[in-house]
Order: sequence, then structure tokens, then C-alpha cells
Amino acid sequence: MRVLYVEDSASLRQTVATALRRCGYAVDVAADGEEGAALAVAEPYDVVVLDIMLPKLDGLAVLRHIRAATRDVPVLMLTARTAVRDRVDGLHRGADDYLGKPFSLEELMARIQALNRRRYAVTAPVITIGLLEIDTARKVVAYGGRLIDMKPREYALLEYLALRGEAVVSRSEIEGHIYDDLVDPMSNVVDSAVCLLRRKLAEAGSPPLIHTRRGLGYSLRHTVPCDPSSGD
Amino acid sequence: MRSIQRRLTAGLVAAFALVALSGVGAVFLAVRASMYAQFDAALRVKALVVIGETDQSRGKIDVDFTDRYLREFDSSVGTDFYQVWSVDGKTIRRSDSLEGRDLPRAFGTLEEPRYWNIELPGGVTGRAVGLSFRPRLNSRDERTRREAVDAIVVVASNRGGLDTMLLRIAAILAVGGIGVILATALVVPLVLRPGLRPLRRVADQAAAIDATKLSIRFPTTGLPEELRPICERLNALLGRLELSFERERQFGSDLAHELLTPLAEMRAITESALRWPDATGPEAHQQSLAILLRMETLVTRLLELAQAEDGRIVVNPVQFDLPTLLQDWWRPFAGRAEERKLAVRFSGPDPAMVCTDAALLGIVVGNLLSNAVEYTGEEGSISIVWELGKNTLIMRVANPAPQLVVGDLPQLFDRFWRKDSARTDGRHSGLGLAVARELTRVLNGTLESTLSPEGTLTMTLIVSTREG
Repeated sequence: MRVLYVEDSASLRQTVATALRRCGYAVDVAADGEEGAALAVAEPYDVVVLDIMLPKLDGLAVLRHIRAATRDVPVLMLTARTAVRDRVDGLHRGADDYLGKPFSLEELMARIQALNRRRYAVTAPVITIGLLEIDTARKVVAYGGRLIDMKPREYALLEYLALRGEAVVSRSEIEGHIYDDLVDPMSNVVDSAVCLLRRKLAEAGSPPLIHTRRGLGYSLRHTVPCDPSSGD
Repeated sequence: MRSIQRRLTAGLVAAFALVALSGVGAVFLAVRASMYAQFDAALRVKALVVIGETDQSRGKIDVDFTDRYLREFDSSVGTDFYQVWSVDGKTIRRSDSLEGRDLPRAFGTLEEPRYWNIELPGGVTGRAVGLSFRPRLNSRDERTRREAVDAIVVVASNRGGLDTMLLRIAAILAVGGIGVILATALVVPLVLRPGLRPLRRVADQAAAIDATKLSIRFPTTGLPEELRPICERLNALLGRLELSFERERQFGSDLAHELLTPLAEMRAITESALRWPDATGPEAHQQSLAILLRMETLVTRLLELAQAEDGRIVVNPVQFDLPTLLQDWWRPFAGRAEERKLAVRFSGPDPAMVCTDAALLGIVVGNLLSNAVEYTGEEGSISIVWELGKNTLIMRVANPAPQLVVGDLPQLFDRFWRKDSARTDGRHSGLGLAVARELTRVLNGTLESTLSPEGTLTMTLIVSTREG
């Protein structure tokens, strides 16, 4: 999942972004409203976390900018202005959630996760594909009840494919949602990551779940083998 | 609580009652005097009739008056009485109506008779006239002329009819007066109500104002001229109050933001350190320390401000050389000015001995220098000029401030005001100029800002100094 975090406090920006990355999120940061607005409409973020009091362009103006660009990206307002009037104002202007400072990192991540699930119309925190279970709240994967050890980026790839259902997801889309702007767009990080993920799932006893549609991308689906005795 | 309408009604009714009673009393007295005058005139005529029938000859007085002339003196009617005396008090003649009894003897002259109220025989009230006169001489001989004497006549009449009439008039006047007073009590509120309606409207509007509705203003058009200046003044006060409340609200919001943001930073750093202890290096502690120092500065500034505003700062004037201390005050900012390649010019008499609180002045000047160094553009110039007047120190700190407009000046000294509403800058709390102005006030001085058309911001500090 790719998150844009727009925050003017350097300390908070750095700490929260680091924490989100450690949890497997791809995070881009912006220190002012103008940069934040430009990034939000240019990149395919899954969630935008937006401070209100920002230099150059305040958070509400950034929000207006995002909505004017018809981007349906969920926006979480994160600010010290927590009066009911401020919260209502933010929500009326198109924010999807509101979190006051100081906040708990756990809560911030839970809200980001909830916004992301809502975006892909997934309501339950656990996504089940055959015997594969992806717990989006705890960020763990199990096959047949056995946990599979995964790195944050591997988990993020699997979770994204799962959230997209059985849809075919292109490499560029995966890059856009799993990797931040530090990744070289010409690299084959997606193919490498898919390869590693397939290997880990296979080691856990899973049948092939990640399917390649040549020239189109990847999809995650559980296929039931044909029964030879059926005669079809 | 008594309303103005009730007070005015009571006052007006009481005043009107007083006027009405005085009028009724005056009318009654005038009528009474007139009726008595008529009554007395009639008495006098009757006395003159008796006098006309009285003559004397050689010292002997004779009254030819008979009760048949006027039936009122007859004992059968008995409403009028007369008695004639000689000057030595001997009764010469009395009316039959007296039935041998005497009238009281008192008298005036023919020109100025004496009138008085008496009790008539039979116990009824009456009124009498008494006068002395010289009876007509019925002979022209010498002896009659030489022995001529005066006589006294008293004529009295029953005044029961007069009293009854006066009582009736008094009753009519009293009933009329009470009626007028009652009518006044009913009419006055009807007259006052529309007159006091604008006042009631203003009162209703005033009652609707509370801390959440300070934007309400009293309409001044169509108001009576007595109320208009009051409403205009109230509107001006409300405007200032609204501004003050807005500033307080803004202060509360800003203070919350100033404290909540570093708290959020501290919490995020701490939670990260607890969750990923292996990945936490010394830089996290350095960050925490920097945040704590920033909060400490903020709290210290707030305390300075509170102390200055509460008048709890004691001024300790000392004599010192300004240029020498100015160099000390500049030292903390010299590095930052050099880093930003700023040209700094100090100009003023040297030495310049002044007598004021050096520590407080140092905080004020330090804040001005800090702002100048921070907000002057890269490679800009700062000018610090001082001059000494009579018991006055004037200091001007000028620097280019292209980001400011004239409209920003009134808010420049507000607590937490920044040109950019974001609090990105950790070096400045947004309290420096507010503290500087309050401390200048403590030093019995002024701190004002001006912005030239070229965009140069000049802070002018004027502080009164004592004789060294």
C-alpha cells in the first residue's frame, strides 16, 4: 500500500514515515501543501495522510485540490486542530477520516488500513483465498493455519493483489502502489518480488495462487483443478 | 426590579396628582373666597339698610328699622340678625330674630367693616359684619351737632346654605380630581409604551448577546437621538470585545497546536522506539531533546508574557553603556546572521550611557534581533540604530521583510501570529514580539512597527530612561 504523508514538522514526518515503512507501507512525504497537492494528484496513492496547518497551501486547500482533480483517494486529516467545528469542516470538504494530535501510531496505521480496505470494498480484516489467510490488521499471512514469514514488502505485494480480488494487476500498478518514489522505474523489482512470494507460498504448501497473464500482469486467485472423473 | 416605565408612570401620575390637587385646591379657595365676598357684600348691604334707618338727635340714637322691611330679621323666619349699640356698649336695638339674645360685638369702620364667622343663636353657623358709624343727625341745631355720637351695628346671617354649597363644590372638585388622576394612571402607560419601545428593543438585543453571539450589533437607524450614541458606543465596544474574544480563541487554538504538535512528535518517537527498539539510535534521543527544549522555550516565553501582563515583573534600573551590552545581546545571533550572509550595521552614539533595566531591555532587543536575523532574506541587511533623547532611549531595528504587507502590522505583536499559519519553524515560538511589547510596556516605553513602501520593516523601540 502506498501512502502520501504531508506534514510540516520534520521530526513527526520522519518518525511516522519510518514507522509506516517498517510496517510495509510505501511512503512518500511532503513538507508543504504545494508539494503535497502536486504529489497527491500525480501518483496513485492508496491513502493520503494530510496535516491541516501547512506552509504555502493549507491542508484543506490541498484536499480541495485533490477532490477537484477527481481523485477518489481516501484522505485522513491529521492535525492538532481537533475542535468539533474543525473536524466537521474537514469531513464536509471531502476528508474520509480525522485523527487529532497527539495520536497513537497503532491507531494511525489501523485507520490507514481501514481506509485502504474500504477503498477496495473489503470489509473483513482477514482475506481468505482457499487455505491462504491474509490478516490485514495484524499484517500476517498463514496457509492452512501455519504462519508464513514474510518481509514487509512481500506482505504488501500479497495484500495488494488480494485487495484487488481476482483482477489482473499490471507491473506498473504494483510499482505505483507498493513502492515509493525512491524505486527506479526501470528496475524489475516487481518480477523479483513476485518470484520470491511464489517461492514462500509454495514452501508453505500452497498451490500456485499468483498467476501471470503474459503482457498484462499478475492476479491472485484460487483455482480448483478439474476433476478427471467428471468426463468434461 | 422596577422598570423605567413603571417608574416614569408612578412619577408622572404622582406629579400630575400633585398638580391636579393644587389646581382643585386653588379653584376651591377662589370659589370660596368669591362666595364669601358675595355673602359679605350682602351682609354689608343689610348693615347699611340698618344704618340708613338710624338717626340721632341731641345725643339720643334712634333706630327706625322695623323687621317688616326685611322678613329675614323677623323671629318667624330668623335667618338674619342685627344689633345696634351705642359706643358705651348699651344696646339700642336688636332684631326680633335674636329673641332678646346678644350678638358678639366687634366692628370695623364704615369703609373697612369687620367680617367674621360666628355661632348664631340656636347653635347654627353664621357670619357677621360689624362696623361703627355716626347715625344721621335729624336736626341741624347747634346742640345736636355738638352732642353727636357714634353707634355700632352688627348684622349676622345664617351661612348654612353657603357652607352646604361650598361642600358640594368641594365634593365635585375632589371627585373630578380623583377621576383625572385615575385617567392619568391609565393613559400615561399607553403614552409611554410606544415611547419606550426602542429602549425595550435595545434591551432585548442586549439580553440576546453572550460570548457566542458577539457579532450582534445594535441597529442605529431609526433610533431616538438619546439612544443612538449609546448604541453606537455599545457597537464599538462589542467590536472590540469580539476581536478580543477571537484573539483569545485563536490564542487557545494556537497554544493547543504549539503544545500538541511536539507532544505528537514525542509520542511517535517513543512508540517507534518501543516497537522497534533495535532500530532506535541516539538520533531519536537527540530529536526528543530538541523537542523538549522547544517546549521549554515555549513555556518560558508564556511565563514571561504572563508575568509581564500581570505586572509581576520588578524593574531594576541600572546605568550601563548601551553599545557594550548591545554587542552581548547580538552575540547569540551573530552565527546565524553569518550563516545567512546578512550585513549588519550598528549606528549610534558610543558610548551611550542609559539607566533602565538592562535585563528586560536585553530580552526586548534580543527578540527584535532574533526576528530580524530569521526573517531577513538571504544576503539581506539589518540596521540597528540608537539615539538618546532627554530621558529617552530610541532604538530602531530595520530589515527587509518582503513577505509582509501593511495589513499584517496590527497582528505582528499578537501571540503566536505568524505570516504563514503553519508551525514549521521550530526556532520561533511566535511569542517573541508579544513578549517584547509587554516588557517594553513594563519599561514604561512603546514598541511600534512600520513598513515602508519598499518593504522595509522598522521596529521602533522608545524606552524612558532615568538620569544617570
